[in-house]
Amino acid sequence: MEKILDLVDVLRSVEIPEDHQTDAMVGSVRISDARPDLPAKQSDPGGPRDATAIGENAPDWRDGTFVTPRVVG
Amino acid sequence: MTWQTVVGLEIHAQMSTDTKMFCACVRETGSEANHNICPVCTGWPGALPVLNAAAVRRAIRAAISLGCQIQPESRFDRKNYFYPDLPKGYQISQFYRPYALGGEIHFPREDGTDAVLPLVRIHMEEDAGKSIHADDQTSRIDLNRCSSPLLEIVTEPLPMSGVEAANCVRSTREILRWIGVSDADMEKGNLRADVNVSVRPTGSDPLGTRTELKNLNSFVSIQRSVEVESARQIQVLEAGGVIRQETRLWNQEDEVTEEMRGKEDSPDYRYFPDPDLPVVIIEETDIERERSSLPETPASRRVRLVEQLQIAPREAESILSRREYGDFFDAMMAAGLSAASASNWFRGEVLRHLNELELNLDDYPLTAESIAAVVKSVEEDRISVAKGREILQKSIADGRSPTEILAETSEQVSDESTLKAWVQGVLESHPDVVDKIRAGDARLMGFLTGQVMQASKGAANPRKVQQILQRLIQQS
Amino acid sequence: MSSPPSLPPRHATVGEVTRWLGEHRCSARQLIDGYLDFLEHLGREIGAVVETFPEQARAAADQSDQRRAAGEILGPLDGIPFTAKMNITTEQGTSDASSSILKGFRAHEDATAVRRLRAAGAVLTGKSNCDEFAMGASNETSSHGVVSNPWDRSRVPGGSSGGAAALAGSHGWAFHLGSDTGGSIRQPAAFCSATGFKPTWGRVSRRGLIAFGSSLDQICPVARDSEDCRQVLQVMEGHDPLDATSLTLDDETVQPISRVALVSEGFGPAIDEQIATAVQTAASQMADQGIEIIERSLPHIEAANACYQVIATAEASSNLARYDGVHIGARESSKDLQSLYETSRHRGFGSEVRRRILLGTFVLSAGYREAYYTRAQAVRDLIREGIDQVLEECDALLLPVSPFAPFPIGERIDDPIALYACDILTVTANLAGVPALALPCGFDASGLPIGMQLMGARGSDHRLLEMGSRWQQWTDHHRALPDGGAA
Repeated sequence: MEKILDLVDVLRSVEIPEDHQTDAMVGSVRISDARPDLPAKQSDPGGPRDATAIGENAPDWRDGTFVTPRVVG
Repeated sequence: MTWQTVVGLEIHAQMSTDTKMFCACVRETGSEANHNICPVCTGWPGALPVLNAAAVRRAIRAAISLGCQIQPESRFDRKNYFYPDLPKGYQISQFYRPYALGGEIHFPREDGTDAVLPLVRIHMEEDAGKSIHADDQTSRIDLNRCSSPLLEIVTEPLPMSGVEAANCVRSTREILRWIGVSDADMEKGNLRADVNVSVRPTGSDPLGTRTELKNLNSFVSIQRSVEVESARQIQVLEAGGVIRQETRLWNQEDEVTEEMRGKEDSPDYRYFPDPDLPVVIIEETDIERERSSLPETPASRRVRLVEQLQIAPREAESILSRREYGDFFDAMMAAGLSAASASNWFRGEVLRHLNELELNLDDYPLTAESIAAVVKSVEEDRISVAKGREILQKSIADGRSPTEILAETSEQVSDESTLKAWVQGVLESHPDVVDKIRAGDARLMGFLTGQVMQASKGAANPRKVQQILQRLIQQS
Repeated sequence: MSSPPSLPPRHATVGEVTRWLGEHRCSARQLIDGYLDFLEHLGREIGAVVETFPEQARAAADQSDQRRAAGEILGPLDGIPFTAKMNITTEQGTSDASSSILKGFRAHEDATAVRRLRAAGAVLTGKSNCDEFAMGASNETSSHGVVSNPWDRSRVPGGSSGGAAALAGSHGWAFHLGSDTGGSIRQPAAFCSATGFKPTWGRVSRRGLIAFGSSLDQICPVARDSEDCRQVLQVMEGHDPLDATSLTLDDETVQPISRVALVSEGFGPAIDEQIATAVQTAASQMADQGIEIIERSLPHIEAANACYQVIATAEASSNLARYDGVHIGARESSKDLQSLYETSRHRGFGSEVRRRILLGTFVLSAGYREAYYTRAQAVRDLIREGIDQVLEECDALLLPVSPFAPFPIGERIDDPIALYACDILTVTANLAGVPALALPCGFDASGLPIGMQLMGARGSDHRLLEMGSRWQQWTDHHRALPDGGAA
């Protein structure tokens, strides 16, 4: 891990501007282009999943819920 | 030494959109567990968040109504932590660049005076799921609520009492409901508050160390937790102790705040901008569009009702209590009723029905227009008040519209000669009653009116009947 | 008795097979049967194949034949076999990112790129092996075992899309979907003598790609040639409402590439001499064909690998937090939640993944964030601006893909620094979001493949692929197959 951090420390040698903000990769979205408020059907790509599919991938699934050891707080 | 309690609030309101914040699952409370979930809100591999336009619009409305400065560009950030109700292992929120800054909440002090609670910011974020404790030392996780759209309203700290803190949340709730941004129903879980409490000696400037009480979901718990926690802090400080900055649990039953075991005091959330979500652009046109569609504020509606339409303040209050009520009242007037008639019939009939039947106005079967038609019939003296009320009642019971039933109803008989005949018949049958009335017992007028109504099989115009009775009794 | 099927030669590209099918020289069914045979034998032998879908593939092939008979094929990819990397979700089979923690995970839904390809008639025949969660450069970290380089079975195929590239490098007819975050399609393509293409970031939807470094990841084709990659890109690309960062890009210009800059840093002392020579020879060959060759330097390239490590691991530490044993993933049963998280993740993730999560968590943590993460983002922007500026002076950049030849299995796996050195020439394209095409350009003295890469400006994907096609008309490195099965 130490060696990796050494490798990464080469970053320090680069001069960077103050108060830098990176939005460069993601681009932007206007409200008119954002997703309309319409529910998806199960048959749509990205639609909701039924309990069987969810339960199949869940490590511990009982009575339609995910089960974990008791959560405190 | 006197102490001052200072409170800061973080109010979470679930926005009343049809779908969730970042996926097209139905936003719905109260359905079967894990019934409205998809790969996105369940945090399955390969799923990506996609922002809901309607959520942003509602967020803009909230910011306008609370007087915030809306930022033309804002970004979503990931708040990273592990919890079973947070399937992605991070919550998408806005940390570095929220969409709205500043703003204020108006609220009443305990003495009734108006006060202002300044806001730091409002931001959009997604909700987590729910964990329910089961009997067998397990917790059961329901992700239905996961990724529901939330607004988080963060206030500055301000000296205030527990009652006033509850008032702040109440005022916020009223606004959010009024402008249609959130149902803000604490019992249904779509409004909750985190309360930050600190104390300081009165007159002292620097703020004391604060503790946080999370997820309070009733006005009583907000009020009491502030009162109890500030008392606890004062006790500790007076005994020479120090307050630790921490999150505490509000124990409603015992009315105490408790330390949370095993929780980090200030966890490191490692916030960073979410690389899956573009920068959110809010333009002037977006803001104008929302501003122009905002309803009349409660304040201006009150002025219109009381000052312009001359409705008594006490009567106006019930119409003002919900936005839908005022809208219905306005619709009754638009259908041709005077303000006074609309007010009387709205309060006397509509509100009474809602109360008796335990209905929301949304589910009320009668329209403003059909009620107005019935009221007009009464005012034009074609049917009696009692008949009018009966028609409305019947309409609800039968499921037919009032106008339909009205059409079937025969007009009351107002013809002088016909009425006079019935009246004379009754007077002749009850000479002793007539004598008593002449002797001063005015109450018996009602009895005679009733007799005429019976004789007419309910068709007589009761008002006119009374007039004729009066005249004939006085004459002889 | 019908005449035996005349299947296309083993080295045939997708384009050539499309014509073969069009000329009815064999049916899609026969093609798919033959391809499944390859996958089940050689494919499994070299460890490249994790799952095959023979039933569904045959059914899809039959449907393709029916469409063809009715004169209604869906496009040039109708009936063409393909595979998808284990970190790309498919309706069929499992999508476990080659990790124990996701063992048996069924996505029940195709990634958008896969859905579009199947809607164009392409036939999904199986899932290919890869490094765990796409983290690696040698395909030695997979829960499904090591993949061998078809050119020398004692050596690595590269990674993380080792399986996909090994399949493309050893047989034609098909294309393969992999992913590239810091070189994961280009480096194995170079190691296996295949053609691999990383699109402009955002060009292909990431919906269904199991996330590693979100701002760096792309789903990529690897196949026999540039034209094959172009056909696949054409179907996959375009805005997807399920990925908010996906874009529909119009190609910036239709003018073919005519000026190429050799990147000086690609030919320094750290680069194997044979590789440097092969790429320089390629440049001369281009010059002979009328391409203007100049030389340019990429600023901050010495910081690129560090920058990449910080950003990729930071994003990965967050993207992999969902594998918590609560709602998905393998769980180690525990009495309390905290140990459930800790043991499930410790046992479920391999050591390379754990190392990267640790680094990523560290660079985002309070007190270190400024020095590492924030700084890396700023350096990233400088690198991006630098490359944009250089690309104003030329149409494409040319440099090797890997500083060294395919190395023996086991040689670098215990030395992460040595492994990260594989990435130094490839990460720049991911940091800047620019498209990059890896093309076979020869073999070294040991007969091991050498690959070169062309990088272009954002949005110039089709232009780069067209240049690749021209290159592949002038040369025949890409036609070679291991075991001497050349064109």
